[in-house]
Amino acid sequence: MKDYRAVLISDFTSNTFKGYLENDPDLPKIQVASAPFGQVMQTLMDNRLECWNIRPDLAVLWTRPDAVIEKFGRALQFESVTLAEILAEVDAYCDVIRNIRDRAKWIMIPTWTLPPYQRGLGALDLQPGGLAHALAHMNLRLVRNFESEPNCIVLDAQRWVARVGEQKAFNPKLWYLGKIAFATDIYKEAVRDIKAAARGLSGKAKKLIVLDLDDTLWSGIVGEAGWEQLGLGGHDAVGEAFVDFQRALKSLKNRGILLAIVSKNEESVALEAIRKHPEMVLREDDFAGWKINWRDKAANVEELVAELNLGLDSAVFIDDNPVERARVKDALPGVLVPDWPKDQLLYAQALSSLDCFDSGSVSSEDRQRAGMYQAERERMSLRNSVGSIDGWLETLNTRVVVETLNKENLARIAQLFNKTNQMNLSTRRMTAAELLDWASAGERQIWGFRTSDRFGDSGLTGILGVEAKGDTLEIVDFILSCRVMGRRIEEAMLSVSSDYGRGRGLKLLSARYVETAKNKPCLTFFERSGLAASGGGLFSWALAAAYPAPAHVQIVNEASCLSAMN
Amino acid sequence: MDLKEKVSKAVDEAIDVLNEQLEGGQKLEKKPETLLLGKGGKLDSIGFVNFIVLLEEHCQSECGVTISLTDAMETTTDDNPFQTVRSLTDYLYQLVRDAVLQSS
Repeated sequence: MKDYRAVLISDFTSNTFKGYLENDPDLPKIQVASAPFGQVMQTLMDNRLECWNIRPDLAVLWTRPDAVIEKFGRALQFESVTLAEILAEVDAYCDVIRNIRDRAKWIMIPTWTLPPYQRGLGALDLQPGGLAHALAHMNLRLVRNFESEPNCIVLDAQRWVARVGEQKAFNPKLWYLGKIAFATDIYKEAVRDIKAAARGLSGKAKKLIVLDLDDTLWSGIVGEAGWEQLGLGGHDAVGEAFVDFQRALKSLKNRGILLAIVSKNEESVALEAIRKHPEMVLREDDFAGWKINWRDKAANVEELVAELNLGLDSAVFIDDNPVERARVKDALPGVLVPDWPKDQLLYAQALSSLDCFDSGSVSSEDRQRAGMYQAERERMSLRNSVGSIDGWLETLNTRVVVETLNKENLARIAQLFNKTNQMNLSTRRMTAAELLDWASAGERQIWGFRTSDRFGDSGLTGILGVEAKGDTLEIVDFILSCRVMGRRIEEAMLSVSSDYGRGRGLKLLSARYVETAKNKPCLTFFERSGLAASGGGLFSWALAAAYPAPAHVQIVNEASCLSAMN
Repeated sequence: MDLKEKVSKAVDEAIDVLNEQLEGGQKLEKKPETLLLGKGGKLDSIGFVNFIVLLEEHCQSECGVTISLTDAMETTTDDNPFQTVRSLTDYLYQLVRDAVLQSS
């Protein structure tokens, strides 16, 4: 993951925060420039200040509420001021923040907090007129102002205070001696969340949880006790805790995180438990795959991850046995192996506390991802029963719908754009806002490709970004999800771009492959595609002839610019 | 562990926490002769403030007494207790010992 550059803007001394952000060993590594102390508004309004020269990836704007909302400062003194006046000032502040939207990829704005010892009206402080009441409305207003701005991320600073506790969150001595607003542990929590957010927004959130079974998903050894005797559910603390752990896993699955099993057991015995135990929350369909045998777990994890077309750095391994955890951690350094509590009552909490799954959004494809893997198992089963690739493809009834980048598909296109590595021509990385800007400038188009077949809908799985330059249509982005690779969707995408170029009267279709550590499959495809290779990663097709559309793929053009060409 | 050892432990712990936020060249070594303030000292003003508060917190945690270092911060004479780790530990020990005696 590349190193990031960040600008810190605050009304309090930010040296401590800067130090923690730069020294924290977790990825991404962040290099920090601090805005001038106490010049929040000046920094937001003047892009010539030196701190902006680093062209940051992140800007973190962290303020005390009374420092930037004057009316709230008066409310702290219980002077006469209305909530409407306070919120109007919040709106005006948010308008100023919008000045820096284009100066960084992401703007991260921690919510406002007050030290818990500032009791306001005390137990009644959430009543109108109370400080907590005003602050809750201010923070909600902050969130509402930026809900539709994909690169402005409001972070929940109150959660940091809750995790750390009042004694460790604030120390008035730090303020009076050095204008340091928070104690050290708060900065550590902030750094943790900022880095988790950066990973999630960059498509680096973990995608797969590989789970053991015995004493991990249920209490007991299924091969010894039989599924009927497993500790799961019932009126039993441990049984209930395992049900809650499975529910927490299922909630992650509903967000698009895949679940898989690596267990040392007889497969038939383990699957029988999953199918038959009445208190199982997770059933066979919830798992994208499994390796249930007596082989080395590290080897099984490695094979399973490869079969799911994922990288090892996408996976998390959870096992109650510290020996197995150590084995996988040593053998597969890319896999995250969290420390796991000995106490089974703490499993759900341990899972929910992990920040490796933090992401910016949940799309409909995310929700359907596990089902897509099940459909893939059925396709592969059919594949194995049909002799040839073409014979198999013919039976799939594949349909590809092409659509222009729009606000409905923007989140999914941005997600796919930033997380796809293998079938990716140029591996550009852009935020949703940057994609919109790019597509709106000059002779450019971005199309999304939705794939479905008789087994189900794979969702939006392909992206083409093209730009007309002179007589040439250049393919800038050629991206396909590994889930649908090798089913001639690649050829369908080339056919669509060829049709578009010919419709525009252009003479040449070109694509330049940019090598990365992971995109060799893309080069392999282009080398076999029929496009002429002229060295330096450049491939081209003379548009005097149409690039042949694949026989077994129905292409439906819903992009207006393409429909007009037909 | 006697009181002096507890104070030393508190100082070491405070240094460990402080070093998490300091750049490589500024990190403090846990040695008696490490210079803190003054000529050759490694701490800037913000680092010093953070260190003071961490020392108070860790002395509270290790020794069970509340001490305040803010008065000593204003000392400008050669007796400034914050010159080295050794002088600081000795000074803290006196404060903690007095606080323990007062509370018993």
